[in-house]
Amino acid sequence: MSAERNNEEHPPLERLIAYHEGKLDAAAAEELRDHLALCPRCADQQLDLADFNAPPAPVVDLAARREASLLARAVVSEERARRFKAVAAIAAGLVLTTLGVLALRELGPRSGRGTQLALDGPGAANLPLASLWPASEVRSRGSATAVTVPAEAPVLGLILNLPDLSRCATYRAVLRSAEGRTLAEVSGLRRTEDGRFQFWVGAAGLSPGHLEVELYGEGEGCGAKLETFPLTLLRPAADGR
Amino acid sequence: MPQGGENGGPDERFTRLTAEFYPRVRRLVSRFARNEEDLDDLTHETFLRIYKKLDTFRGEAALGTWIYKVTFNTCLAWAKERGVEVQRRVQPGASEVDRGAARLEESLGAVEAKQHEAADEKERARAVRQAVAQLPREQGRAMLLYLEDYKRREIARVLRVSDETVKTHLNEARKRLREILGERFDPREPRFEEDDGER
Repeated sequence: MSAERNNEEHPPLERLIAYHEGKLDAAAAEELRDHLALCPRCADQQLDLADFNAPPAPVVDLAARREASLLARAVVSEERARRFKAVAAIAAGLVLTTLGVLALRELGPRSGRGTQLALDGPGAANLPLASLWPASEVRSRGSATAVTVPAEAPVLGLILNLPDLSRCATYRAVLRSAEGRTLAEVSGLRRTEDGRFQFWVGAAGLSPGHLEVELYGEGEGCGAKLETFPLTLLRPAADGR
Repeated sequence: MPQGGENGGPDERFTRLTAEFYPRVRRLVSRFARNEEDLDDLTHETFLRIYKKLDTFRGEAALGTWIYKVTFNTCLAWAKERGVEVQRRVQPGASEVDRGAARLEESLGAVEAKQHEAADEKERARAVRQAVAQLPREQGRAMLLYLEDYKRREIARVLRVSDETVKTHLNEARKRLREILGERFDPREPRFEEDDGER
């Protein structure tokens, strides 16, 4: 006579509601009555439904009235705060996504291990060396590529255009000072289909002046230096350095 | 999701709805809650869900039905997560089988108290169930619910029949049980016949 003794599954709530509302056909209603007689849980639900649909009784319990009022206020405040946070998070996400896309367009992957970049940097098609980010000052072929890098810029993205280069498995790029000191090194680079190398290096510690980018082959029989590209690093006029 | 609105807007509507349904929701929630803390938390969670879903209420069902549905589903999910069983609206003091059998015996005035003391409880419960099983369908349903401590009025609501119909079924059931149980039935026991629906 209890639900525990009744091994039947409980009918779905929708069915119990349909019965409560008199929307089941006669046969289905009879079947459900058999279940209700044996299942106090479902019988209770019928009474609950009747209670919830009864005309509202005046809440004479002042404490309950106050609790209800406080609860409503708390729920509205909580949900407003949650909504605000959600909107703020979405806005922040959009900003970050936009910045991320722009950065990817400009910078490429951090590892510099030959991952392909989808976008070209300014002047990249014309220069043997171009900067993805910050943008290169486009100069004619044969001149040093000049890049204006703010002191606080964290990275420097570079493109090497070498469509005629013989193929090695991977390549290594080295950024050297005019004195030949190694400033940064990225290995495992792969050529893109159109013969480019795109990578980026940390810009912290790079001083304005004339630098060189050297490209080496990697792998068996490919260890030699293949090309050297002059690069001029500049600071913005207002940078103070 | 409701938006702003202090005067007659969705938030105001929610506040009125909360005032109207708070006692009913809390009563239902209390059957799932293990303690006062659960009761407060689950009530809060339920109204939060009602608030969030309020703009999905299109009026296809009665508002009370819709709120019941949200409340019950919220409570059920909460209880499942914690392995909690929903409690009965009316909590029988003893196990339902034993209490049901005892109530029937009491109401039927079956035998003297001393004789009952010696009887096998399980055997008695089985005898009651067997006797009820022999009743006509409508009488059996009414009697089963009666033995689960439902009032006559509540039985009428559950079975979607009138109070008078339930009264008739219970009286007929009583007569039939008297025949089935024979001397175990005490006709001096007035409880069935004088049931006023408030029990």
